[in-house]
Amino acid sequence: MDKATRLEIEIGRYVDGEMSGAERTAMERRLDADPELRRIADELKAIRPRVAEAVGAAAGSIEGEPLWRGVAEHITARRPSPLEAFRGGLRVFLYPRMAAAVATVVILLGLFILVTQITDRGAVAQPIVREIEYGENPNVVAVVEENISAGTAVVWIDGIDTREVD
Amino acid sequence: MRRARPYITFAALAGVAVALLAAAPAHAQQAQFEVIVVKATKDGDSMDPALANYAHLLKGKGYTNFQKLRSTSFTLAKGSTRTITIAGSLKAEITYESEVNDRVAFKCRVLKGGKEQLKINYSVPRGGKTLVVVTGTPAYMLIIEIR
Repeated sequence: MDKATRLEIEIGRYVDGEMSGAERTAMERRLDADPELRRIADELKAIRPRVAEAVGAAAGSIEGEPLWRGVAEHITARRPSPLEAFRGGLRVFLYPRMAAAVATVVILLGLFILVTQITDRGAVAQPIVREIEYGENPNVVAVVEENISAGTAVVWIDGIDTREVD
Repeated sequence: MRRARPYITFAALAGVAVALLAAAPAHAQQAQFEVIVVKATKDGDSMDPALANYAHLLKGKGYTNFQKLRSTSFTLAKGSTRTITIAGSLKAEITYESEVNDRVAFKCRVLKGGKEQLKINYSVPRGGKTLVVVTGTPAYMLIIEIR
């Protein structure tokens, strides 16, 4: 994904209110610093309600009755009800060895899901940068790039003059 | 049937509690950090051999020339802070806060001339790496690795 596309997605997330507090603060600072970005964000914000309205109108124009008749024409064979299917499935328990095999598979699958969830929650699937708090310099803007599965995060900080510190 | 005596039950529970406490990771009260300070520019195309393992992390925003300035390893107890000089009056303060579920929580404050520029709150899995980049000409990068 190139930089421009990534920026468009970020602005879209900002306009749709999908950003976390820190991300939102960073984006607002970025918009304040860049009038062109601000203009794009404002245009997107203005367009979104009209798009939603147009989609709603299109969905409302679909007539239900002809649609259902078309679907019903394609339904021919009778399928067993969920209750009948469940009773059919219970027949497996008439054979003890088969029942034991099914139970073993279910338990192993359950354990696998449980272990996977614990691993994800505890070690991997959490953001690395939890929050960014800005200090006294109003020019500072930070952008976070995370690779959660690799356990790495990069924070790009703009607005600090590095020429004076060398 | 004989009933178990209360003090035997209590002793068994206490034993289990002691065993659980003993099994808790000893390193939870402290964390080991490795910090590398890097100077990066957009002129030339050179990667300091000492940074080869971090090349995938460093490259971005057009920086092509990377020079390792210094590195330091240290262990921080909960609540303690280490100050690292990045360049001149540009400094970073790293404070270890806690460890939960094998994730190390710490703060990194970036200061210039003694004034706080920003503060980053991290929750990093052990073995994870973070990079703080103060962009500019030159840019200064801080690789923070949690051991």
